[in-house]
Amino acid sequence: MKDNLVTIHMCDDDPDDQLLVSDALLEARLGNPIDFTQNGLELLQYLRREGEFSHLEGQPLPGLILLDLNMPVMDGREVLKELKNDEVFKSIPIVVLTTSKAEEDIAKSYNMGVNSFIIKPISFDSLVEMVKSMTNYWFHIVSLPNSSQ
Amino acid sequence: MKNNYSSMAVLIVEDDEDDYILLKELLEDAIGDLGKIDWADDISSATELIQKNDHQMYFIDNRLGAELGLDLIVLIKQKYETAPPIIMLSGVDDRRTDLKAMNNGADDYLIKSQLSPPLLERTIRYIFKSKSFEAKLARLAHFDSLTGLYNRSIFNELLNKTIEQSKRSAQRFALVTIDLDNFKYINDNYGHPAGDLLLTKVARRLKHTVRGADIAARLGGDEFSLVLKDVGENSDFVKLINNIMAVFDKPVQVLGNEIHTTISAGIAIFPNDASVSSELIEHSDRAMYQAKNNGKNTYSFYNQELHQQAKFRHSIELKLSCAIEQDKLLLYYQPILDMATQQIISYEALLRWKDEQGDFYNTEEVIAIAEQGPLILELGRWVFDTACQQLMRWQQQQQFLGKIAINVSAKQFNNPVFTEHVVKTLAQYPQLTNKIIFEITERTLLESQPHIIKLLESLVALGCEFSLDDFGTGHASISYLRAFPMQIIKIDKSIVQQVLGKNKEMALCKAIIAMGKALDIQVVAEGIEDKAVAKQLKVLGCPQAQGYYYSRPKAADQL
Repeated sequence: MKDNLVTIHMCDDDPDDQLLVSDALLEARLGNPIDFTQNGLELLQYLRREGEFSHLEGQPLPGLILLDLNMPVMDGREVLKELKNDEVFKSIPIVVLTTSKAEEDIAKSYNMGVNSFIIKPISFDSLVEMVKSMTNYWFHIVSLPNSSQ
Repeated sequence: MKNNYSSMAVLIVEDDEDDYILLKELLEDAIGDLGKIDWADDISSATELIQKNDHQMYFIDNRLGAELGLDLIVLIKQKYETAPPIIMLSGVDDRRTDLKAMNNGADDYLIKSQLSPPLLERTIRYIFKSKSFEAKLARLAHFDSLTGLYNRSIFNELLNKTIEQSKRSAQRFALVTIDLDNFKYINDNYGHPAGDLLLTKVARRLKHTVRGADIAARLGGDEFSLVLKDVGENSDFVKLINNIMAVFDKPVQVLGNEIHTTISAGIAIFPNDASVSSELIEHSDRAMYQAKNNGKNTYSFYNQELHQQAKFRHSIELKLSCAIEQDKLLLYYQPILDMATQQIISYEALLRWKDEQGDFYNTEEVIAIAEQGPLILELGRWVFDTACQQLMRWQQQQQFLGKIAINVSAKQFNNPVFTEHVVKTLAQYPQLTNKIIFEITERTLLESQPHIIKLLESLVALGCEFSLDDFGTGHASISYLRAFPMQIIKIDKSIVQQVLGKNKEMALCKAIIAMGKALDIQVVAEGIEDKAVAKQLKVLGCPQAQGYYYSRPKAADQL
C-alpha cells in the first residue's frame, strides 16, 4: 500500500484544470494526494519548502510533477531548466501537461529532460484514462530512485 | 517491479483454517504480494467484513458449517453497482452449485483440489479484464463521457428518486435547467474542440458549486440540469441560484483563449410548481426560455411570486450599490439620554434611504437584502465613515462631545476587512477614541468562534464599546453576553412598552436592570414613547433611555 502515499504535484495557473485533474484522480479511485502551484516560481518555492510553503519542511517531495507550459511570472519552460539543473529535483519525473501542440515545444521539452509530453485531453473520460495509465506507469511499472534522500 | 495487485484487498471466506492458509500461499505464488488479505471463518463475520471493508476480490467457500457461501454472493452484489470479482470455491465438482453460483453473480467456480498458481493467475487476469469492460459499460450507461456528469437517461431516474424521497421527508427541492448563452458562437468561432473543452470545464464548475447530495447532469448539447435538494426558505433558492450565476463571472481558458460565457437558467420547485417529473421539467424549461427572452445572462423562476421577489431583490441591490457610490443615503440621529441628568450620552446613527419619489425605503428590508451578499460590507463601511465624519463635525463646532452609536451587522465581522478599516480610522483620527459604540442585533448571529471574538476584543482594546440591540427578543441573549465583550444592552421596545402593568414585562425590565448592575453593563431602555413609561423606568432605576418621547431620529441639521 506504500505507493498510495506518493504525492502528485500539479503546476498550472488554470483553476479549472486543477479541478479537472483532482476530480479525475478521484474518479480513477486513486488515493494519491495532489497539491497545486500556479506558476514556475511558486513551484520552486514549493519544492524548496520556502516562503508560504515552509510548513512543508521535512515532508517527502512529490513523486510526480504535472507541468503546464504557459503560465504567468515564470513559465513551464523556464522552471524546467532550473529543475533539471538541480541535483535534488532533477530525479523527480516531470510530465508536461499542456494545450500546446507546437512541435518546437515538444522537441524542446524532451531535450530539457522532460519525461513525457501529454496534450491535455478534451473530455473528462479521456482525462480519467490518462490519469490512470500515467499513475500506473510511474507508480507501478517503472522503478524510481528513493525520493526521501 | 511492483505487480498490479500490490494494493489490492482480498477477502477469503473459508471455515477450514488449513484450506485458508493453503489458498493464501497459492495466491501469493500466483500474483505476488497483495495489499491485504482478510479471513472470515463463518457467515456472520464474513457479512460484517463485507459491509465494513472495500475488498477488490472475494474467494468464498460454499460449505461454511451448516450454511452456504452462495448467500454471500447476493450480499456483495447488492453492495456494489459493479461488484468486484467473486470466485466460488468448492471441495467437490458439483454442476448444480456451479450454476447456482453463476446465477447469483459469481465470476468463476473453482475446485479446491485442482487449484494451482498458474490456474489462479490466469483466472484472475481474465476476470479483471472482463470486469473493467463491465465497469466501462456501466459508466457509459450512466455518465456523459465528455463532462463526466450524469447523462440524460440516468438523470430522469434520479429525478424520480428525488421526488419519492422528498415526498417521504416532506422536503422541497429545485430543478434548474441551464443553457449556455453563446455556445453556438463559440463553436463557430473557436472550433468544436474549444466548444467541447468549454463544456467540460463549465461542468466541473457546476459540479463543485452544488452540494454533495445535489445532482448535476448534462442533458446534451450545451444544456445542463441541476437538482438542488432540501431547500427551506424561498430566499435560499435565490441565494443558491445566485451562487450558480456567479460561477460564470470568471472567464474560462480554452485552448489559449479566454472565453466569457454566461447562462440562462430556469427554476421549478417541487412540490410547489409540480409534483411529477415531466411537469417539473416542462416548467423549468419554460422558465429558462423566459430568462432567454429577458435578455439572457439571467434566471427566472416558474413561480411568479418567487420571480417577483427575486427581481425586487435584484433591483434593490443595484439601486443600493448606486446609492452608496453616489452618496445618496442618509443618516438620521436619535439621542440616548442619562435618565438622572437628562443629558445626551450618545446619538444612534440610523440609516435612511429615499426612493425617486422621495418616499423612504423600509430600512430593515433593505439591510436584510444587503446582508445576503457582499453589499453589506460596502453599506456598513459607508455608515461607519459617515457617522464618524458627523461626530467629528460636532466636535469641531463644540456642538456635541459625547459618543456615536453605529449599527453593524454580524456579517461585517465574518472577515477582518471591516475591523481593519476601523483600526485604521481610529489611528488616523485619535479624536474618535472612546467615542464609538457598535450596536449589534441578534437578527444575524455572530458566530462565537475564537477569531471573531478576537476581532471584537481588538476593537474593545482600542476603546470601542459593543451594545447588544433588541435585548430580550432573540434566542441568544444571555449566551451573547457570555461569549462576547458587551458593555451595553438595550432592552427591546416590545418589553419597554409593556412596563406599566404589574406583569412579566415589568419584572423582566427590573431583572435586566439588576443584571446590568451586577455585570457592570450599561442598560438602555429603547422605544420610550410617553411620559408614563419614562417615569416608570426611572422608578425601576433604568440608567439610560431612548425613544420618541425624548426625540425622533432627525437629520443632523434638524437637531
